[in-house]
Parts: sequence; C-alpha cells; structure tokens
Amino acid sequence: MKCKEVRRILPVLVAGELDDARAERLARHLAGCPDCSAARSGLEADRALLHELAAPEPGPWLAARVMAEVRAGAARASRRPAWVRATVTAAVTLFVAGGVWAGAAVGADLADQEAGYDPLAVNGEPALTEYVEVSLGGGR
Amino acid sequence: MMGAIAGFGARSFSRAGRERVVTERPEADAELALARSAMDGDLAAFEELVRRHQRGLFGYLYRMCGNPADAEEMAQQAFVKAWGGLRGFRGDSSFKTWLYRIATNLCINRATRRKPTCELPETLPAPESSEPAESYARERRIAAVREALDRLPADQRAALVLVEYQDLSYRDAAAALGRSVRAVDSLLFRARQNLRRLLGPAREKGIV
Repeated sequence: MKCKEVRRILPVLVAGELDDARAERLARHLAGCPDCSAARSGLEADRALLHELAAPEPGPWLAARVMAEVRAGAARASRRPAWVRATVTAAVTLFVAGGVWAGAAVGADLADQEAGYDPLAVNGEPALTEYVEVSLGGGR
Repeated sequence: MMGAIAGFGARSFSRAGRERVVTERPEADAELALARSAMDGDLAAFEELVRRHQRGLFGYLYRMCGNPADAEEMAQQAFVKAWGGLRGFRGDSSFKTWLYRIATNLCINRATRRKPTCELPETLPAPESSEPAESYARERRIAAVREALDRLPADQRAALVLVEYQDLSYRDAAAALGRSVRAVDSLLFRARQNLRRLLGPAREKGIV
C-alpha cells in the first residue's frame, strides 16, 4: 500500500468504519511503516485531546420547558377551528416533509453511494481495491 | 416502516460498526415505537424521547456553538420542532438521527456567533501557588481544543462532533447533515487535518 492511500484512510480506521479486510491490510502496512504509524498515533492523540472537551450537563429544567412549550402549542391548536387545524397541520407537514424529502433524496443517494462507496475512491484517487489488485498482482 | 427499521444499520463494514448496530437496533426499535405514539398525540411518549436525548443533543449543540445558554435554547427549539414535525418522520432513519438533522439545520441556519467560554491559553493567568499544576495544564489544553474546534468550518465541525462525540456512524452522520457518506468522509478528513494544523501552535508551546 502506498503511504498516501494509507494516510487518506487512517481517519476511517480510527473511526471504526473500515471493513475488517482493509483494516487488516492497513495494519500490515502500519507494522512496517514508522511514518504512517506515527501518523496514526497522531490521530489517536488528537482524538484523546478532543475527548478532554467535556460538555456540561443541560439545565435541570430543559425537558420541563420543552414539554411546557409543546403542551401550550397543543392546547392552542385544540382551540382552533377544525379547518385551521387541518391547514396548519398540512403546512407543518409539508415544511418538515420538504426537509425529509430532501433528506430521503439524499438517503437514496446514500444507499446508492454506500453500495459502491470506497473511502479511497474520493477526489479522483484510485480505490483501495483497485490499487491492491494492481500492486499485489490481483492477490488480497 | 418496520421493514425499513429491520434494514436499519444492516449494512456496516467494520467490527466496531457491527457492534454499534447490535447495540443500537433494539434502542432504535423502542424509540420508533415511542415516536409513533407521539405522532398520535401521546405527550408522555414524546417526553420520554426528550428525556432520552436531551443530554446528547445539548452536548452536540454545545460543542457546535460553544455557549451553554445558546445550546440549551437551540435544544429546546429542536425538540419543539421535532414535536411539530413528527408527521414528517417516516422511520427511514432513527429518531435520534432525524432529531439531530433538525438540530443541525437550526444550528447552521442560526449562524450563532460563538462566544468563547474560556480564554485563550496565552491569556490564562499564571496559577496561584496553591493551584495544582496538572489542573492548570488541563485547562489550557481544553481551551486550546475549544479554540481549534471553534475555528473549524461549521460543516467540518458538525461532522467531527457527530462522529467523535455523539458516536454516530458515517451513515447516520450523513443523514443528520443531509450529505452523502462520501461527503462526510471528506469533511472528516479535512476536519482532522485542520485540527492538527490549528493545534500546531499549542503543540509547539507544550500546551497540548
């Protein structure tokens, strides 16, 4: 494996998103490459640093304030004439559904893309499988 | 809808990813049931969803905007929007992912001007003689990380926070961001590169 490909895929490995076969090939490269091994250590160190940044707890009344607002909205809605309720419901549904539709369109793209997604096949770089097949003469 | 949920998370690549799916699926199914009840007007079911997600959602928004008051306000807004938009929740993603999508849109649309919650490491006062050195060093590290995270572009920061702190898979982070998995991978790669670069000065000073 070329170091350039390894560096590109290291974040995927560190995030635990790399398939076992590639993770194993990557591990073999890292065992024999001090520079890439150091890069991986650097990534892991950065992750450890990130996790020092703890978030405070939310205030104790967040859930209560949410439910108060939700209940107030539900009470207001129940006092509206039926035709107004239907219109508002339709409008809110359309608004959120518009966002969800866009998300669903992305979701369809996600499914399509995930079927053939290769973390190394980005920005015009060769896919790992292609590289490995070429460099190892078709072996894995 | 249950068919969609049965397929949820079925495609994963790594051992860690498969472990994540095994632990997440029963939770996702239970939350789907709660969401469906809430869709029918069950306030108690929605309140349960709020209680389950308030900590994580607040943490996400806090790391995005850097300000606890703003984070709490946006978390409240996100939950209220989720209640109002439940009819649009189809179960194609988990409730959590859908909720984080709402929160991400809020966060980015709001373009919150981030208020630093701590001083830059260089301006921290020298420790009093009684203050443990380790505690002071840790505060400086955290301040450096806070500053570096703050300076990432919003989309890179969102991808990093979702994957690194909220433990979302690439796929769920993509759904929460409204981007493709490939785009999330690219965002994360650049975020980590930028983070390393932004922490360079603090590293040279021995702060991190």
